This record gives sequence, C-alpha cells and structure tokens, in this order.
Amino acid sequence: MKKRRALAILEKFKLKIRPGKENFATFYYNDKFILTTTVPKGQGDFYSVDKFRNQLRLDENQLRDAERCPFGYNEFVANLIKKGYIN
Amino acid sequence: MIRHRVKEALGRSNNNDDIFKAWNIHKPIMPANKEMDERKVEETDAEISKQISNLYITFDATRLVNKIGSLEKEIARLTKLLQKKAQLEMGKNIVLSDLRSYKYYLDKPIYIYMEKVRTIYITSYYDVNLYAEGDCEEDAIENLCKQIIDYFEILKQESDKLGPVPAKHFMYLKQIVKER
Repeated sequence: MKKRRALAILEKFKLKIRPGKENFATFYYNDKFILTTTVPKGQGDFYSVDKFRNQLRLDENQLRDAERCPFGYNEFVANLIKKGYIN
Repeated sequence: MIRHRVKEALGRSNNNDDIFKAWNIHKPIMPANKEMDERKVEETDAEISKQISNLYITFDATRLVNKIGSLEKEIARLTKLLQKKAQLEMGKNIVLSDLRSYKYYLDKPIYIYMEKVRTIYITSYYDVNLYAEGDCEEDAIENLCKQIIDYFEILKQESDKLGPVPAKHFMYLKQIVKER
C-alpha cells in the first residue's frame, strides 16, 4: 500500500489529522476520543501497514475493502462498536 | 554414445587417439593383419567401451562431487546471510529510559520493539499501540518518543471524554510519563 492510499482511508473514516513530522490522526465518535493512528509523511510505500491496520482495529480483509471502497465510515464505526471500542 | 560424450567433455576432439591419450586409456594393440577375425574386433571394441565407460563415470562423479562441494559452500553462505537478515527483521527489544524531550521524562524505563522492514526501521510500543518509522534506528526511536508525547498530551487534553481504550492507556501512561 502507498502512504497516500492510507491517508485516503483516514479521510474516509473521518479521522482528524494533526500536522507534525508524521500524520498523527485521531478518531472521535459522539465526542469521545476512540483511537489514534499514524501515517508517516512523504510518498511511496507504506511499510507499517499491519501496525496501521491494528491501530484502526481492522482485519486484513476490512483494510483491503477500505482501500477499494465497500468498507466506509459506517462499517468502520460498526466494527468498532462490535469489538467494544465504542460504548 | 559413450565415446561421443567423452569427446564432448574433452572439447569435441574428433581424434580418438586424443581421447585415449588424454584419458589414459590403454588402446588395445590391433593386429595389423587385415584378415583379423570378427571375434577379436568385437572383443577389442568391447574393451575400449568398457574403459571409456569407466572413465566417463569417474569423470562425471568427480565433477558431481566438486559441484556438490561448491553448492554446499554457497548454501552455507546464503544461510548465514538469511540468518542475519532474519535477525534484523525479527527485531529486538530495546529499553527506553528517556523520551528525548525537555518537557517530559520517563519515570521508569519502557520496552519498545524495533524491527527493520526493507530499508526502514519501525519502532513499536505495544503497551499503548503506537509505532513510528525512521530511516535509521535513532530516527525511529525519536519519532516514537514524539508519538508517545503527542498521544499523552491528547489524552491529557481529552481526559474527560476518553473512550474505553484511550482511558486505559491514559491510566497507564500517567504512571510512566512525567512532566519535568
């Protein structure tokens, strides 16, 4: 996966990206701080995809779907609720 | 067939005598008599074939042993290289005792994990699910320190509206990360 694809996923999941040396992103739901993730700045290959996926609490298929489209914001939230990360 | 293969091995010499000389084959003395009986011719041919065949087997076996030897050396060299690579990729635990910050310090050392993926280094702090990348080991460590500080500051700032996981992380980090 390329870094810009990872950033596109963050935008799709409505994460807030804080400026800094790395793209530090936070996810809020119903005004609650739920999770955080990072995508290194720059372009090119994203080597830490597995760690990124873990931070977003996604499995490999979900990440693939998120990259290609069918897995959107609603599915992301539903997944977090199902796994108990959102009360 | 055998003669042909030996010839091939000797550099396609068309002269049988060259083969005999090079491979030390005792060429049976042929009777000069043109009326040599057929049985003797057959015996002579059979003897030459046998000698060539033995030589071919020896030649082939020697070449095979040499090849196996060089392959074994190559395998040993590659195994060492792979082990080194695997060690790097498997990563290592590092004890981090400082956050490289003027504002925060670590009250007690923490364990981070470092691995190399292709050309970059990745550090992970599994206790709070953070990671950072860097072009070199020090870069990756420093970026992770920044991540920990950033995360801690967000947790502090949002302390009244934390979800279940960030709340646990905040409880944990409060014990470790202190302000100077």
